[in-house]
Amino acid sequence: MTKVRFSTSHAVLIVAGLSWGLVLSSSGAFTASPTLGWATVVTSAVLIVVYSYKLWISEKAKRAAIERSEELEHMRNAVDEHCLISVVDQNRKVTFVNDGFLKATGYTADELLGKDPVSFQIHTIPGQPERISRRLKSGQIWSGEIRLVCKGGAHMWTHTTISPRFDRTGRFMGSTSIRTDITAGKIAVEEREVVSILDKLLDNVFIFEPDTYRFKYMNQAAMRRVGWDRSTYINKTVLDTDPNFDRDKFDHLVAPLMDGTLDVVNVRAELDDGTNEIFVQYIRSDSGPGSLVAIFRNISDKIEVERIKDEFISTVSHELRSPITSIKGALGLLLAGAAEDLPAKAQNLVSIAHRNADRLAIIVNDILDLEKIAAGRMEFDFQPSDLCSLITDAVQINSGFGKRFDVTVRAEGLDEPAYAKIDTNRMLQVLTNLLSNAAKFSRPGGEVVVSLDREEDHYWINVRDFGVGIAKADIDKIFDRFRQADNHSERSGKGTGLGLSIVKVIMEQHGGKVIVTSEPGIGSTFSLRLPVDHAAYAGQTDMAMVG
Amino acid sequence: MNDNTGHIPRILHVEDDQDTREITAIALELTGAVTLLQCTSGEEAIEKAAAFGPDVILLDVMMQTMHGPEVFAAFRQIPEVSDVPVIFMTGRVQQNEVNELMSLGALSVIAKPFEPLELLGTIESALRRAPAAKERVPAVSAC
Repeated sequence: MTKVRFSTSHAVLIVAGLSWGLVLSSSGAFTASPTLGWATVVTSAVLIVVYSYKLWISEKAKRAAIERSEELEHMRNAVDEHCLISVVDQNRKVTFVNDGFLKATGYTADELLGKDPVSFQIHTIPGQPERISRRLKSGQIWSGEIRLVCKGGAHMWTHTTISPRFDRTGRFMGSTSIRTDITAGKIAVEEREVVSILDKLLDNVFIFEPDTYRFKYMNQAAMRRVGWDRSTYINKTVLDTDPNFDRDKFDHLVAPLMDGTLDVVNVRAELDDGTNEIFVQYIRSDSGPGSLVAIFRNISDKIEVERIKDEFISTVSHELRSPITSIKGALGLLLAGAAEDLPAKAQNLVSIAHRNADRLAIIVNDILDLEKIAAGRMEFDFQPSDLCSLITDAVQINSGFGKRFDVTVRAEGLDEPAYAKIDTNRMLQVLTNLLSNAAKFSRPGGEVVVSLDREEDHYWINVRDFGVGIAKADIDKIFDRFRQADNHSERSGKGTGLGLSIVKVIMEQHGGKVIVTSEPGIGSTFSLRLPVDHAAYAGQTDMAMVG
Repeated sequence: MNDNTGHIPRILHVEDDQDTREITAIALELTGAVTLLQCTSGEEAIEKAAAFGPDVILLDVMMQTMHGPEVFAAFRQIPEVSDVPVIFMTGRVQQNEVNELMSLGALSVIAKPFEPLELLGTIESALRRAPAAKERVPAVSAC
């Protein structure tokens, strides 16, 4: 590769040498002594040639050095392109990083120099940095995979070779690391792994086009369900999965996904292998119509567990009723003087026990109701009914409760019939709950007022007390299960906190709602909103006219 | 127990829980004059019902051996008690459960826990609503 050219300076030297020889010969040196003259010429020529050669050689060396340095520069560029090089001293402080390192990680040299590499490396294997360090200090090279944290926080997988440096006395002076970015390969491997995991998932995964419903992907479980393989499903659509497939129904099902109203649609279906929960999701794409993804999960076991749990709750609750019956009955009889008249103190204690047996009975009922609500099994029998008679009944049923707390329960606004479609028993449960709460939280001698108001399309039944009220912060909590406002009545002790959450569910089932307004120290109003049953109202009015 | 005059209602009570039996007995005796026969199982009640000749049967639903509805069906096969009104007493008072019991032909369903002092009143008002029960009274006294 190295090629020394005959340069101008060589030519100048030779010309100069020859000219000097000619001058000597013409000056008479030849004539004085021809031998000496020729010798001089020859010597001069030799000297000139030798000197020129030396010059030529040194020029060649210089050239070679320049070219080697150019070559090194070229190699350095190549290395910077491919490798991340860093050098640390014996104290594990970075003393050098190459441009490749900076370019790949996005750091500046200042951000890395003087740092311990642990600050930009992630070791997932415990104790790895120490093991590497020991290996280097013993004079061995370490090679393996290390993850780097780049400037923006992204991770970069590198294949890293670290070689130790020692001084002449054999003292460890640090190490040089050379790394290659293998992130792309890693991602490819991980992506392949993800696809393979998806393929082997127990859930059935179907991916299909949102417009044609043509399958793009099925995992193994999905293929087993429909009995197709990779070569066949690609030509099939969702409609081909069942000869009776109802396309309109399916369009209707996925419509909220396509228009963005819902993120996921969830349905349950009884299939050959048992109950399946099916989730359908629409995944948008920048480069096309996106994909619909349907995931089938067999939930037969889960349903069985739920059933056992529900049954357990139901059995336990029912089993509790027998002892409660005895306790409540025995105490009730004692209070009624079945044994003999009780001393005042005993009467008081038995009253406490009796009252709490009542509470226990209510709790058991509430738990059963909540269990039914949770299982979606609370049954409703909606019939057009007059809210006035509902309220009258509720007031009558709860008058005893009012007496116990020395509270009068009074109804108002019941002048005209007010028809709504209600489950009378459930609505009595709601009103009983609200009225007993109102009585409990009233002051002795106070009153509870139930009123009925009519707006255009709905009724409001308001249960108002003039008791302790509910702090603003507690109002939102009172409808949560097992929650109760802190300022519970001292006269009644705590309830379960279940009652109002049941009230809320029952009202929602009626297409209505319950709201509460309250002021601490002044009282609370629970308002039940129910839609007017116009049909029943019209029917009743007609009948009244006929009558 | 009260003497058997035929003017005092005869109540057959079938209940496997001893405490509930005792409370029921005390409650009924405390609130009125009744002739009460208590049986601890359906089997015992089926055996003794005809001889006792009840005006009304109080029947627990969940019992160790025969359940209430089974005992009820058995009573319907015994000519002497086949039309005696039956009132179920049960802790299972969800609407569908009550409906089921009523559909068997029960006169009424009393929910547990019940108010002991109101028990007799409840039974009497149920009987007043059932004309068959009144018609049965001579039959009972004839036994």
